[in-house]
This record gives sequence, C-alpha cells and structure tokens, in this order.
Amino acid sequence: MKNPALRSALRRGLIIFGAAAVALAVSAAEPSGDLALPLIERFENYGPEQGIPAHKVHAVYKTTSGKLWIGTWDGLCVLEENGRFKRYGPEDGLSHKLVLSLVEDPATGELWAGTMRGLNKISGGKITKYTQTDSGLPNNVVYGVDVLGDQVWAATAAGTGALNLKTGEWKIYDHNNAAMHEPWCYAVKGAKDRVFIGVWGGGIVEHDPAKGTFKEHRDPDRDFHYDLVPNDGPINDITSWLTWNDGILWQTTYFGFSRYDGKYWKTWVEGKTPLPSNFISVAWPVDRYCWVGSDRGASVTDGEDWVNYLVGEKGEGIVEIHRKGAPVEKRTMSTALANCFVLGIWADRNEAWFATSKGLSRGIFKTQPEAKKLAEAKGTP
Amino acid sequence: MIARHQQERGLGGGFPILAIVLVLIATGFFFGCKPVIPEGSLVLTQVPKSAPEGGAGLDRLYPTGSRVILVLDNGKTRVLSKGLAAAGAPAISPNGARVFFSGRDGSGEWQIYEADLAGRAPRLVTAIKGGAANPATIDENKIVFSSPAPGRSERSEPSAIYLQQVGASPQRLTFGNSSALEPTVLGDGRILFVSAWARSAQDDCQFGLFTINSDGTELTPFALDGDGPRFVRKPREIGFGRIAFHSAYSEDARAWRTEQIHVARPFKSRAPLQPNMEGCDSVEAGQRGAVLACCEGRVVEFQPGSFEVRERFDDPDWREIEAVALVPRAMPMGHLSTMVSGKKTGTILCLDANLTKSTNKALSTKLKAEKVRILAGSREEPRRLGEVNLHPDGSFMAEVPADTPIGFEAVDAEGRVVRRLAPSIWVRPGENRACVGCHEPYNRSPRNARPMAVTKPAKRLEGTVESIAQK
Amino acid sequence: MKSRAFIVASLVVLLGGCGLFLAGRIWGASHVRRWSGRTDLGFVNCNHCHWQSIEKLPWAAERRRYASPSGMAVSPDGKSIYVALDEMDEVVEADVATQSVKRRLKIEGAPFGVAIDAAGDRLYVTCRESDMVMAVDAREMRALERIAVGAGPVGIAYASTQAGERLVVANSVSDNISVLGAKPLREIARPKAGREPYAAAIDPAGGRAFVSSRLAVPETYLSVANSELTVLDPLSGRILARDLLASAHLSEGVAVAPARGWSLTPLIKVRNLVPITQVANGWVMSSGLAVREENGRLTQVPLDESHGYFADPSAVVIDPSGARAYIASGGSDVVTVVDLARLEGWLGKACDQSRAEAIDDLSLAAEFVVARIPTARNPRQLALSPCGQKLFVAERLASSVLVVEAQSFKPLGRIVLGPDGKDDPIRRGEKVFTSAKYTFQRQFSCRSCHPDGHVDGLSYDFDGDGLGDNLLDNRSLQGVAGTEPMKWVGKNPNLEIQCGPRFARVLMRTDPIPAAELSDLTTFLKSQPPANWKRNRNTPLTPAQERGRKIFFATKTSQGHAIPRARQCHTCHRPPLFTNRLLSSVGTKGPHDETDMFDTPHLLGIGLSAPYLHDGRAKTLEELWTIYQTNDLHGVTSYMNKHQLNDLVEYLKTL
Repeated sequence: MKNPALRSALRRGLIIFGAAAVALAVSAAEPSGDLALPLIERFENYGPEQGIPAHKVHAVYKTTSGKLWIGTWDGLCVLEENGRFKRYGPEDGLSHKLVLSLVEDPATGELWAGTMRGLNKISGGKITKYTQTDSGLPNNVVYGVDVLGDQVWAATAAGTGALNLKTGEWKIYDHNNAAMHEPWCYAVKGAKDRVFIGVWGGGIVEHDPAKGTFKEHRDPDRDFHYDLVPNDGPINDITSWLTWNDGILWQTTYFGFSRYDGKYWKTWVEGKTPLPSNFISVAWPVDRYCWVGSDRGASVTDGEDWVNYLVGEKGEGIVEIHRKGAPVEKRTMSTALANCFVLGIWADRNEAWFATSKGLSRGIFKTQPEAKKLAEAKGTP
Repeated sequence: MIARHQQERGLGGGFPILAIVLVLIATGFFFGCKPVIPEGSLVLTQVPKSAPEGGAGLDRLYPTGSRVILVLDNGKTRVLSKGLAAAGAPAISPNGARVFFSGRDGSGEWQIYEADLAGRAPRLVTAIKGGAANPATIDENKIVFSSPAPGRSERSEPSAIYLQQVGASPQRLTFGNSSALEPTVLGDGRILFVSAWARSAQDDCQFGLFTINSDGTELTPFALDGDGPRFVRKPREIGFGRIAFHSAYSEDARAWRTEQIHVARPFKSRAPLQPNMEGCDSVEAGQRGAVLACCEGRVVEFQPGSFEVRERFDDPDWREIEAVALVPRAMPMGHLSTMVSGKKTGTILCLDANLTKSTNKALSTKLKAEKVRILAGSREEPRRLGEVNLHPDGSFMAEVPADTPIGFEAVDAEGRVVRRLAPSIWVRPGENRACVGCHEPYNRSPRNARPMAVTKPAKRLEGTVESIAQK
Repeated sequence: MKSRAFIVASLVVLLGGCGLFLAGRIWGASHVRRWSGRTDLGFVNCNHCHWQSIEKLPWAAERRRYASPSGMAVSPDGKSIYVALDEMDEVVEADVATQSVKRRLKIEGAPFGVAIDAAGDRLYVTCRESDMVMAVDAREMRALERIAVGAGPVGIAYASTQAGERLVVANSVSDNISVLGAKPLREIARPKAGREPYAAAIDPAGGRAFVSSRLAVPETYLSVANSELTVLDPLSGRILARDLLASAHLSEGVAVAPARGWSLTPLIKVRNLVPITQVANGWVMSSGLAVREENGRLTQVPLDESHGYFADPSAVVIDPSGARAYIASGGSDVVTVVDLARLEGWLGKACDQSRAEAIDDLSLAAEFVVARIPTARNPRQLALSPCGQKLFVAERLASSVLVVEAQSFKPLGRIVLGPDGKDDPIRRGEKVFTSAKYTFQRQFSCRSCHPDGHVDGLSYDFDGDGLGDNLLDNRSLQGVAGTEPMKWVGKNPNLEIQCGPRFARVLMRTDPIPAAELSDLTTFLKSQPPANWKRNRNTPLTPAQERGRKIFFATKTSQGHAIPRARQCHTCHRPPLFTNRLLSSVGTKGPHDETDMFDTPHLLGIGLSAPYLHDGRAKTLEELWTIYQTNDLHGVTSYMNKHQLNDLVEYLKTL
C-alpha cells in the first residue's frame, strides 16, 4: 500500500461501502408492528420532463375513476396513460392558469378546481367557469373547494360561496351574515351534515346548513405566536387549511396543528411535539389518520404516533418515526420528496401524492398488513 | 219613406235589368273575357319541315314560317302567332291562363308577344331596342326575357336579362360581360339562365347555368362547370328536383343531347335525362309529374326514369320543336328586394379570399393572397378600381359601383396574381353581396365565424367606371 | 242674438278646451318628468306606465287546448301506441291495427315524454309543468307512482341494464338530467346537462346514455356558441363526456344506432356570426345530423340539399337493424330517411378535413338521404314498431299520428287524436309560426330561432343597416303582448309590422307573409305567456328573492342615499310587464351602434333568456352590473355588495 492514491481510493471505497451497509441495515429495519400508519418506501417524482408545465404544484387529486389531476402555477394537468401530463389552460376554458384546489363530486365524477381567478367545473372533457363577475361566486380567489350533496362550496378571499347544483342559486357566507371574524376563507370541508370553513384570522366556522346555524371555533388564548394552553381549542386563528373525515377535524395553521373529534381538541407545535414545522399548508385525512404538509416535508399521524418525511440539506430523504413512549427512529431514504415545501396532498390506503414547490411526488407504501389490520380494528371503514 | 220607395222601385223596376246585366257579366267573365281552354291543352312551336336551314340565333331556331299553336285536348288547333313571320319559345303564366312567346314580324325584329288564346292576333308586349327573346313568367303579370335577341344584329353588346311588368317599362337585371340567355323561373323565385363562364379567356365558350333573384341580386353559379358538352340551352325545371337542359359540343350541332341535373347537388349530378335520349329540342314539365318533350319533330310524354314514351301530338307537315302544357303551376316564391333606390354602389364582403376549391392544400397555401385588386369594366381592358388588403382571416369588404361588371385579382405578397376573375359579376344598388371564398367550392355554406373585415367600414372604391345602367 | 251667444259659447268652449288640453299636456309632461326623472321624454301616452294589467293580456286568457301529440312509445307487441298529449293533460292508448284511440288517462302537469319498459307493463311519463315523472300501469292505464325530478322534464328513455332498470330524463328548465331507478321510482343522480336538455336515449349494450340539449350556450361575445350532447353512465349518472356540437342548436332529438355504437342528434347549424347578406346556401342556418361514433368522434353532416331545405329537424329514430335513421323536420312537414350504411361508407372514406367541412357542403346529403316522406303539419316526434316495420309520426299541429310502412315509405293511415283547430286563429298562427314555407327555399321557420316562442340564446348580424354593425340579441316572443314597440331600437310599432314586410325583406327574402296568415301569427304570438310563467307564479319567494325584490324597488341605497328616480330599477322596468316601453340609454352603446337609446325590454322570463343587452354581450345577469355597468346608468348598483347583487339576480329569475 505504498501507493497513496490507491490507498486513498480504497479508503473512499470502504467508507462508501460502510455507509451503504449502514443505510441498508437501517432501511431494512422494520418498525414495530404496532404502528397504525402507512410507511412510504420510496418516492417517485414528476416534473417538467413528464409534461408538468411549472415547478410549483399547488394541488393534487386522484378521482374515483383513477385519473390523477394536478393544479399547477401554469395550468391544470391530468396524468395520461402514456405517463405524461396533459395540460389545460385558459385557452381551454380554464378561468385562470394558477390552480389552487381540486375536488371531485362523488355523485357525478365531476372535478371542481379553484383558481386565482374563479371556480371551474371539469366534466366530460368540458370546462365551465364561474367568476365573481358572471356568477354569484363571492370572489375570484378560490383557495378551497368541496362538494357536499347538491352544494359546491368555495372558500374565497371574500367569503365562502355555496352553489346549489340543482337550482343554480348561490349563497355567500362571510362576516356580514355568519359568525365569521373576517371574510378571508382559506378552506372549506363538508362533514356529513355540516360544513367547516377555515377562516384566515378567524379560526374555524362550523355551519349547519339544515338549521342555518354557525359556530365559531377560535383559539382560546388568542395569542398569535404561542399556544399558551395546549389542547384547549384550535391552535391558532390563522387557519391555513382544514379537513375532516370520519368525525375528526384537522386544522392546519402557520403556527401549529390541531385535531378535533367533536368534543376534545388536541394541538401540536414544532419542537414540543413530533410536528416537524409550525408552517403547515395542507392536511389530508385517510380513515382516522391524517397526512400533513408543511415547509419541511410531509407527515402522517393518527394523533398518537407520527411519521415525518423530511428532506435533508443535500436533498436526501429522511424519515422520522415517533412512537408514543418510544425513542425516535430516524433514517435516510433512497429517495425523497421532490421538494420539502408541500402544498397539496392526496392519499388513500394504497398511496400518497404530494404537490410541492418543485414538482409532484408519489409516495409508494411498504406493504404493511399489520398497519392495515390495526386501522381496520380502530373502526375505520 | 223615400228610401223605401226607391228600394221598392229598384226591386220592382230594376231587377230584370240587373239580372240581365249580371248574366251578361257572368257570361262575359266565363266566355267572353277569358276563353275556356281545357286544362292539359298544349302550346307548341312548329317549324315547317321545308324550312331552309341557316341563319343564326333565333332565326336559326325559328326560321321563317315557324309558328306557335294551341292544341286543344280534342286535337283541334289554333294558331297563336297569327300575322308574324316567325314565332317560338312559348311560356305559360303560373295560373295557366296567359301565353307569351317570341315573335318576329315583318320588320325582322324579335319581340315578346302575348297570345290570344281565342285565336286572334297576338299582342305586342315588348318594344325593346335590339329585340327580346325567350320569355319566362315570374307571376301573372311579370315576364323576364333576354335582350338583345341573339343572332339578329352585329352583337355589339351581350344579351342581358330583363324583367318587365306587362304594360310597363323593362328593367335590366344582369350586368355581366357575357350574354345572359334563355331565362326560366324556378319555383323558389330565382331566375335561372345560361351564360358563359368568365374566369378567363378559355371560358368564352364554356357555358353554365346561373341564377339571380328577380331584382338581379345574388348572381350565383348554379350548375355545369366543364363537366360535359360546353354548349347549353333551354334549362327547365321539370319537377322531382331536376333541371333538364340540352347540350352539345358545338353550337352548330344537329343533335343536342338532353341532360339533367339534380338540384340537390347540381354540380355533381349531371347525367342524361333518359338513356339514349338524343334529337330532342325541348323538355318541359308536363302534367302529373310527367315530362313533356319534343323529340324528332313530335311531342311525347314520359315519366322520369321510365322507358315508356307516349306520343302526345304529331303533325306530319310540321316539325314540333317546343311544347308546353297549358296547366296552372305553383306560383314561384316572391322576393322582396333589398336594393336601395338612389344608391349607386353596393358592398362586397368576401369571407376568405384564400378559400378555394383547390384540393391541393399545399398549393393553396403557397398561393396565399395578401390583398385583392378589384377590377371593373370590360373583360379585355378592365380598369383597376383599387386594392384592398386582406385581414388575417382572409376577409375583405369593399364598396363598389353598382350595375357594373366587377372582377378580382388576388395578389400575393410579391405582387403576383394568384387567382383571377375577369369582370363578370355585379352588385345592384345597395346590395350587400357576400361570398365564401375565391373560386370556392360550390354549394358551400359559410363557416360560422365573425369575419374580421366587418369590424371596419367597407373600403370605398368608386373609381370612374360608368355603370351599364348609366349607359 | 241667439247666434251671437252661440258663437261666444262656442269660443268659450273651444278656448276652454284648448286651455284644458294645454294644461293637461303641461301637467302630463311634468308628471312624466317627475316620475321618470327624464327630461328627454316630453309627453308620452299614459298607458306606457298606467292601465297595464296582466289579466287583460291575451296570454293571460285560457286558450283552447288540442290533442297535440308530443312523446310516443310503442308496446313491445307492436299492437298499441301510447301518445302523450301535453295540452290536454292526457296520455292515450291507440290501437295500431284500427288506427283509433282505445283508452285515455288523465295526467295533470302536461305529460310530454313517454317511455315503456321492456315487458310493456309500465309507462313512464314526464310531466313538463309539474316537474314529475309518473309511472303508469300500461295494461290497466292507471297511475302507479310518481317522483319529483328537475324542472321541465321532457325527453325520457328507458333501459333494462344488468344493475336494474333505468330511466334517464332530460329536465329542460333546470338544465339537468335525472337518472332514475324504475321500480320503485327513485332518483339516483341529477347531473348538469347543457342548455335546455330535451331528448334522451340509452344504449344498453354500451352502458351509455345520451342527452341532447337543444340550445347553444352563450360564451364570450362574438364567439361560436355550441350545444351539448351529454354522455353519461345510466347506472350511476356519472358524466362520461360532454361533447360540444359546434355552432349547433335546436338539437331536440337523440337516438342510438344498434350495432354501430353511434348516437345521432339532429341539429340546426347556425351561422349567426356571419352577416346575413343572403339566406341562399344555408347562409343563416341549415339542418344537419351529428354522428357520434363509438370512439367519441363527432361529425356533423347535412340533411339539407343545395337548393332544398328541411327545417327544424326535431326527432330521430333508428330502426332495430341499424340500417336507417328517420328524422322529422317539423318546419318542412317531412321525414327524412338516412341510409346508415351509406353514411358509414362516406364516413369511412372521408378525411379529417372532409368531415370537418361536411356540414357546410350542401351537396353531400344526396350521398345518404334515400327518401323524404311527406307528413301533415309539424312532425315533431317519431316512434318505430319493435321490428321497425311501422314508423309513427306525431303530427303535432294536425293532432294526428301518421302511420308509415317503413320499408316502402308508404302511408298506411292516420290516427286522429282530435280536431286540428282550423277555426282557431291561435292554432292557425302556430302553424304559420312553425312552418318554413314562408322563407326562401323553405330554409327556416320562426321557430328555428324561437323554439316554443322563446329565444335561441344567439345574436345575429342583420345587414338591414349595412354591413359591419354589431350583432343583435334574439329576443323572446313569449310574453310579448303589450310590450310594443318591437326591435331593440323600437323601430317597429307592433308585431304586425315586425313580422310583416320588414321581416320578409331582412330575413325571409321572400314575399311577406300574407295578411290573413300574418294576423293569425301575431294572434298566436300574443297568446304566448312568458317563459316559466306558471312555475314562477305558483312559487313563493325565498328569503333571498324577497331581499332581491326589495332591492329592485329600492328608492334608497343601503347607506340611505336617495337613488335618482330615472335610475331606480322599477322606473323603466315598471310592473306588471316590467317595462315602460320607452327607449332608454343605459350606457351600453357599442362601437358600431348608431344610437345609445334602446328599447326597455320586459323582464318576464328574463332568467331563461340569456344572453342580455341589445347585442347579447352579457352572458349572465350578473355581468349586466359587474362588467357592463357604466357610471350607474343601468340602475344604481355601485352601492351593492355581492350578497345584494346575488339577491337581485335571484329575484329577477322569478319574474
């Protein structure tokens, strides 16, 4: 080993081999069988090379027919069978190129898209647009959209609008006629017989359409930056998103994360809890657990355990598994999210899609029969 | 009391007189004013079998001695052209009560006459310089005809179609550089006539069928564009959606063939009327869907598509060359004119001057025009009225002198003429005339798009051309 | 002495009369000025604002009803035909062999469409005015059950699928489709359709249902408007495709071709963006057929010929073998027979460009049209016997059903349903209204642009005032009585002049409609109530609509500022007709308009007559005050928030 160059090369080889062996060993280590959350094995990323017209992907939605739609900074796209995305823009009838939110009407299979200038219905290949000047839509900036029965709900910068699909009538809910601190609505979600509206600076408004009542859920301590008393209500009034499934409401803010089961609130903040970042943009529930998108990556939690998918400084994937009462498991992944800033999520029991600031990612799950069984045992359908 | 007295007097003393007057009026109405002509009687043109050949135009068709006769259903005949040297081309009014025909008196000039069905001398209807020929009826009181009558004089000017209310002055309807001949009136009210195509000098002897409205507006090619013998005459609507006509490769041909087109697709349906149908001089709509024809000097009748030909009339001393049935027919549709009296211009809107019927798309693209030069006047020495730039969608709009032959040259970016139409079309005063393209496919509806040309006023190209009407 | 006194008295009376007249005029002018807020009007007739009464209008009177056939269904054994008579509130069963009516069933609510189940046990009837679908025992002719669907159900189709029996209903007023389970009746889904969905068909083999919407949807000003053929899953009601029939409207029928997987939709191809310099060559519109192949490819082919037109194609049926399609042309009293093998042959060899241009090629129809069967007045619906041997043609304005031997096209007879109303000027007028015989080459009828007297939602460019003017929005003829003058510039003082020589010159390009027929036509038009009148009249206002009503009649803004009388909604749109019948300037003069004074339209049925303004530039009511409002000239609306605007729109839709 007189040759220093050879020695150096061998040393480098050993280091690489060692690192790879460690990584392999870590990745091969299965989590404990009691984790009731899906685990992502690897990410597949999509960008301009697959036909996505812009880096920034704001929303992602997979319809019941299996079509994957994304809302980007430069148009609405659908993933075609050839693996490429087909784009629809204003020239195709879309009201604006920047698509912020997507939802499917489960009854008709129609897709609704909120944009920076109006609401759109994509149905049978035809786009119908609704703007504040040609319809009863309260405002053109449509942050969130949801369909509940015969009503399409649109959270806009000037209130939440509800379009009755049978009669064509629009109703507007804002600070004038609802228990709403201000009209700037970021999210809306139908919850069986009621509707939750996420209000920027106004917490959450719970609306019962049948009774015409409104109930405000505000941060009890009313402190903008600190959650003085945990679990006493919404973590913050600055609601950036909310979602609901199976009796559980999840609220995201730029100051933490909340869960509400109809009786009790639970809150998470960065540092004191497994929540990787207070700056959260989106949440997506599956069964009784929830995917969370923040500026540091994506997480999934059932309110007890957490799995965080982060992006390291060198772009590597990092997974953190937080089990209640157990030390954190942390390891790297062979693949990572396209970008740490997650703007939109769609997931089911089989896969998860993440809209990020720089492309689209698909999380491919490890086979976890135990997790599935556990989820089913917890009473989810 | 006075009224009652008068009433009683009137009833008592005046009743017989009134009754007599009423009877006289009724008699006059039924028997005196209008002769009773059995429906289905024929009006024929007969040419003496011994008539010398030669001459030109009407003189050739209807040599001296030719006459128009009425053949009643009992076989009896009446001469309707009494006192005339020659006569022919009878036409029946829509109610089947009036007969007009071309006649030549001793002066040698052909004019239109109205026959007296009782057998008295015919009444002169037209007195137009250069003569008149080939009448057709628009309604009970209006006829159209062509003038000057072809063949009689040095043809210093082409024949045109005129419309005349009986007893009034004629109005000119066509203003092209080619003769407009042998008009007939279609059920939809348009006037169908024979004229030469005028896209280029080669078209001189290529005849086609064209239509105009009864005010001369909307000149439109109707059928026959180089798809058969080039000489055409006597087009007639014979029912069942067909137009029959006669054609030959030479104007002097002895035997003209009889052809038909379907109005459903006139440019794509030219075919013989009947197999081996030659030697016929005229075809007209008969009764009950039958076709009335004069073939080999006799009058025959047959159903379209049937080989069974029935002889209707044959006079061994004469050659029957034309026959029309004296029956009422549906009144042609009217047309409320859109012309603006007093206006001296009309407007032409072309939706896309680069739309042609060329199937060679590559060539069409290569020959893309950028502007259109508008010509007026004679075909040989047209004057340029001006140029109009095409809009990006190929459209242009120009205001041009009315009643003047207008032509076009589509010019590409290098100034080359890529398509040309010699002065041959016209607009009537105040007419807004539009076309789909430039030598566009026939029978083509426009694409539903807003032509860019209409966003700005039409370019006014008055020029200094004296309109034919002014002449 | 006596005579002098007489003269003096006469002078006094004369001067007094003149004085009174003058004073009346001055008072009248000041009254008008005070209540209209306008100084440009001077003296106008009192009845512009007063003495208007809905009850006195011709359309408010009960009109005679006729046995006008609408929908038809033939029993599976081919022995009976069931015919809906919407005007009579009846469904009748006729015996095909004897060609006579056997039984009648009263069904309230204007029964319109009829479908029959596979066994022939149940009839399903749409009730256009009561917004119901009724199930009827076909054997006993008695009502079984009913279900509420969308507003104005018309066309209905039945199919037996693997998942059960399904009904697909076209709801023409609410613009949606009800997908129903059949036994018992239950609504599975109600997806949106195009504008005025009118006909439905189900392809049980392909698992698809088709609904054609008869009106084009206005998009942006000067853009081509398209009507929609909606393709959906009849099991779930989920939308599979929304095919746009480019530049088409009055697509009132749809049928599925067995074996080929096609659907056929008759249509009118409109050319409203092209200046109407002529009508020849289908310049304004022509009739066609949209062929949708199994792969979704759409081709429009003409039904008209180069010089022959067959206006208002309104229904289509296809024989069970898929060999022929029959299309009823309501304006021309003709059933057109299309040989589908020939059509398939042409499609097979046509290139993309030929297909795209096919509808504009008037010489093409001869390739596949094999017959034209004459009918009595206004054939609007068709049915075939199960084996396709007999064709039934609903001759709506003759109150009869023509029976035709399908193979030979020979008429076999006629089922007379009732008197055809020769003695009734309204009925005669409807015959004029629906007939194309008054236009050049019989190209179109009044109904071609005014289906049911209403609007087609399009704007046209008439060349009467020269080329290059703005387009003119087509106005509804429903509720037109008492709203004179006519035209957007108020040029025509009454309907007689509007529909007489001026119309002949500008549009029909023929002689005017003869005086007696014109009189019948205007009588018919005046008998037409506003769109949705009955439905709106019988429905109480919702809270939003009530708030909107208050805004409409407001004299002050929300902030308490007085609204100038001239710009209060109800000054110009004065009840009960919601027009003062005067010209007004509301700041909508376009670049090519010669004037900014336009007729104040009545607002009855306004919710269904989009687009709006004289040139149709506003595609929705909202746009009137969001995009096309200038300086509060069209009513003072700048004080309104979005809630109030929405409320106002909701109220207007109830008029």
